Amino acid sequence: MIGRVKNLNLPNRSLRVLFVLGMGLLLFVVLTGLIVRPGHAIEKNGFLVTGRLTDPQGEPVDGAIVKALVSETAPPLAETRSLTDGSWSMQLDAVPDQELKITVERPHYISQSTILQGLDLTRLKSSGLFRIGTLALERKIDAGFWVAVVVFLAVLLLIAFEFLHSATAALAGISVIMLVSYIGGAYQPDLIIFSFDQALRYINWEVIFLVMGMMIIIAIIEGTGIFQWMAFQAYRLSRGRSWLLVLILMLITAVASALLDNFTTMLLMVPISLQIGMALGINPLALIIPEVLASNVGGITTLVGTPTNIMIGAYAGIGFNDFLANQTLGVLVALVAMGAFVIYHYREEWRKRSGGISPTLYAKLEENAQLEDKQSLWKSGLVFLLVLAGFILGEKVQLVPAVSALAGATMLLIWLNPDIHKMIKAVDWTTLVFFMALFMIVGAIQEVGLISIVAGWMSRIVGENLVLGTFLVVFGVGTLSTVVANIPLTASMLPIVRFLTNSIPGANSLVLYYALSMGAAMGGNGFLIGGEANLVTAGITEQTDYPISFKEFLKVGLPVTYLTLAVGFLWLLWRF
Amino acid sequence: MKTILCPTRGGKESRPNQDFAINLAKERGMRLLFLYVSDIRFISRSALPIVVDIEAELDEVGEFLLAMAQERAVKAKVPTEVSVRRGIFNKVLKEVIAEEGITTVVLGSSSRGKRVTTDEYLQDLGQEMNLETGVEFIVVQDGKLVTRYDAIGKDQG
Repeated sequence: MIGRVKNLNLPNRSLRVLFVLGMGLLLFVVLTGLIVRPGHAIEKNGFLVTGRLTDPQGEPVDGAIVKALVSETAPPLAETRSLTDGSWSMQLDAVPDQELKITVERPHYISQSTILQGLDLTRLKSSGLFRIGTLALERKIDAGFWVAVVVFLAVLLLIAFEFLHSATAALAGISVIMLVSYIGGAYQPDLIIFSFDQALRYINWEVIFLVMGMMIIIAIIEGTGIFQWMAFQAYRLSRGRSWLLVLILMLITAVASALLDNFTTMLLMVPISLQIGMALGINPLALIIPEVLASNVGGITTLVGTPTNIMIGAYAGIGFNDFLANQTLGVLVALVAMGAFVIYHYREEWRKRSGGISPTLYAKLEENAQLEDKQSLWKSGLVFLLVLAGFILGEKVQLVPAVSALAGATMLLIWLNPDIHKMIKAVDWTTLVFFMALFMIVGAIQEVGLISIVAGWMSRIVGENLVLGTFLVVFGVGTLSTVVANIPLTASMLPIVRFLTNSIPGANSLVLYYALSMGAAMGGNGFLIGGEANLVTAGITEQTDYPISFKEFLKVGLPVTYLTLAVGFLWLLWRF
Repeated sequence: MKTILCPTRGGKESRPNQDFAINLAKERGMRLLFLYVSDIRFISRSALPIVVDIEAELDEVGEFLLAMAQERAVKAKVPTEVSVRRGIFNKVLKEVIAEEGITTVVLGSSSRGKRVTTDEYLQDLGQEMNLETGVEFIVVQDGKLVTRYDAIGKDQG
């Protein structure tokens, strides 16, 4: 094109500009013609009927079969499926003179039909287009509903009471759902819950890849011994002042949990804290229980701090910066309140002090807390900073956190060249399988309408009151999370929170998602069984003379739970 | 040299029982072996990624705990060694008894604070192990003899 302009040898600049404008106009006309052509084709060759389907809560319904019928016995004139936004459109070759029946069918919904006749058909014939508008489908409680609900509850119970490994329980659950759908559904259509293809669509791959990338990064960083070294430095700095030591350890744990996950953080912190506690001559649990409480709360500061935040972030499109901006300060205030309570609760313990440990034991402690591999430390530290930069700056170019994490993990694998088999083993596939199976099970209860029903109940309670909604999510989820594993709880709550976010005026600030994040994580502090980090901490301390009893944890954990939930709720009210 | 084996979890509550083993070794002129066994089966039910070498971390805890016990035994001039093992306690105990030529085992519990094991459990374990391995088993609580099972049967202490 440029060459042609030059060859024309136009006399001056203004003529060249006019020529370019003219060509631009021509291009516009041609393109416009191309764009409008399909419309003409419809008018010439057929008639378009469109509409949109929603559930009782106004959420789009996809995969519904929409048919255009002239009579019940004749084959349909046209057939289509609704898309993910609930919209559907179908093209008819001809329009009947008397009436046109549009039927909508979808498992777990009551079938509906609408009849076009008279004026509607005249309009369709004359303009070639008829918009039916939005049809709200009513839910149907069928056999599939009860199967999905029973399986979901059974999986929760199996996990809660440790009858089966979480991943096994979730896999068993989705297997039952699939078998019932395919085998049972062949004989009794009401038993169809969803197809395998539909089930796969419920898996949030962003969560899976973000967790996978972070696992590799964490596996490399944890091997450097940085957190154990920091804990030992805290011991040295505190010079025997246990109350100061516990505050520093809580801070280290909270920060570590914000960057890693709280489960890994506790695996790293508990062994060295046991040794430090014994060296100080105090009950190590006075250090460890506050650490686990700080870990559960500190994790929610960032997107990658807890698996629940990763799930919430991926589901609601909340980025790393959003979590930092909307939760960090609130979490810090909650940590201060927690620190004050812990200092008071363990006040007798701080008065105890041993005469110190021998130089041999001190050397042993120092040896156990030394940096393992300084070369790997600075390299992995640098890559970790780059990954954080990716999380923070990537949002400007729509770079999803999972890509930053995977790129960081790959960079470390290339730069440090660790044993790739060891690194692949560091990826906990069991966890990833658990997540995938869990997403599908939650998809099943979403499919049959349980989530919709619960969302409807909550909506009736909350109405349009955002403060009440926030309160209910923070304290309701927080209370449930004291006994129910927070990962399945969060997965189940996400569609409910989405519904409330869409229905309550002002909730589009996503405040309810932050409320869910706070409730799910802070509630984990209530009971010993409330979180994975608590259980693993108890498991490690049981290897020594300092097992954590249910009652001992409860005495600190429950007040801290409601104290931090209250601080979190007030923070959200102030922030939003 | 005959050896007394003292499995321990090493906290404050275990000290009277460790002292019992130290005194017994001194009285009998025997070598003392402190044993720490970590068992990480608790972690297998977790749904979250386990990227930390928790066994190695617990080995370090065990080494530290045993170093504290060994320091007191050395002060009492008892030749002492330590061993940190991984696995199921009963199984490891039998292995160590066989490998180290153990003649006496001191199993302890505490009535104070929280208890990892009950007296009944330890007595049953002592009796069972005594029958299986034939070595002397002494069950103590808070540093005091509760039951002794020698090579030929059971004597009340």
